[in-house]
Amino acid sequence: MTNDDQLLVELREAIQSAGEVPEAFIAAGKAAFAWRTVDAELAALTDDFSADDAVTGAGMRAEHAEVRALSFHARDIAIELEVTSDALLGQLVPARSGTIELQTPEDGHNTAAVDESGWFTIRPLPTTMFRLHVRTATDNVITEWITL
Amino acid sequence: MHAVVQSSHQVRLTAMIGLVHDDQSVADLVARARNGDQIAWGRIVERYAPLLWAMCQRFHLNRADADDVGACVWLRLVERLDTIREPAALPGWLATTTRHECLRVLRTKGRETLVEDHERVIDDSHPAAEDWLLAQERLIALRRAFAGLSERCRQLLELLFADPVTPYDQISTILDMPVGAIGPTRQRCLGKLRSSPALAAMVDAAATDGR
Repeated sequence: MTNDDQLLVELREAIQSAGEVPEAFIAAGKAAFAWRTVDAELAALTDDFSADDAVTGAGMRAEHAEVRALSFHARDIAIELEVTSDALLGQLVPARSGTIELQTPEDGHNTAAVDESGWFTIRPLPTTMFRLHVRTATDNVITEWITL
Repeated sequence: MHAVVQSSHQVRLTAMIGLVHDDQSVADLVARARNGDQIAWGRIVERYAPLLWAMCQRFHLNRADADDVGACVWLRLVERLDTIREPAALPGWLATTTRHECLRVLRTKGRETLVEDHERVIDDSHPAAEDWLLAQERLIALRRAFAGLSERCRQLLELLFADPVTPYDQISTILDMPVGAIGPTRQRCLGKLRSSPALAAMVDAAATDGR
């Protein structure tokens, strides 16, 4: 096979493999741009602790299958999160009041209040990918997307 | 009659992948998307969606799971758009992120055994993973190079790489080109393809890499 023949074979693969990608798959990717936020600071996931992992690691069985704790950090504020069987319990550190908004790609928004101690509760548990948008008098922070 | 059918089939194939002339570097596209340019974002998605899709196919994900993975990966890229330091590393980042999302989906479905197999096969640092990514980047470069060719070159090459290969006398009729000109034109078009910036960059990188 000459180099030209080889190149044609590669070219066919390149064009055909792209042709196999469903249009909706590409459209969804394009639509993701609507979730771009330029005004909020990104809070990165710094800790993702699962008690189940820890206990299993020690050779024991966990009583509750899943206890999960997550921490997100932005420059001036941290968001601590605990996943219970039916809710997300969380706290802003340092404690500040404000609002917290749960965002999911399909279902839109669900806003909860953050009290003076920085506590908040979000029900029900998100079943898809989500992120949290925190607004206080001084903060405008959004977590990275996560999945439980 | 047959020639017309063949021709319309070819047109459909190119239209299907939304082949647009796309000579911008990924760095330019990322910079424009950062400034809120939705068209630039669309170009990024068009260019790299086949890479994401191919990764999902490697994990044998069904359509719904692949859609889930794709959406997650693009959301993560949107969120990181401002913090990408090296846009040239984007294909690698997309491959890694897609792999992680594929594994997550399999895990949540309780297909642990499968996940273990995949972790062996598609380990991030495994040479096979690197080769796979290089092959994908080459396909991306080939599509970009192809889109940059003249309409006539693209028509001819599509007829030539069709399966089954279109006979020269049919090509001659479809393109209104003497049979004797097909060989030389094919050579010239493939030469242009090779020397296109998108593909030349890949060849240089491969040469530096010792491949």
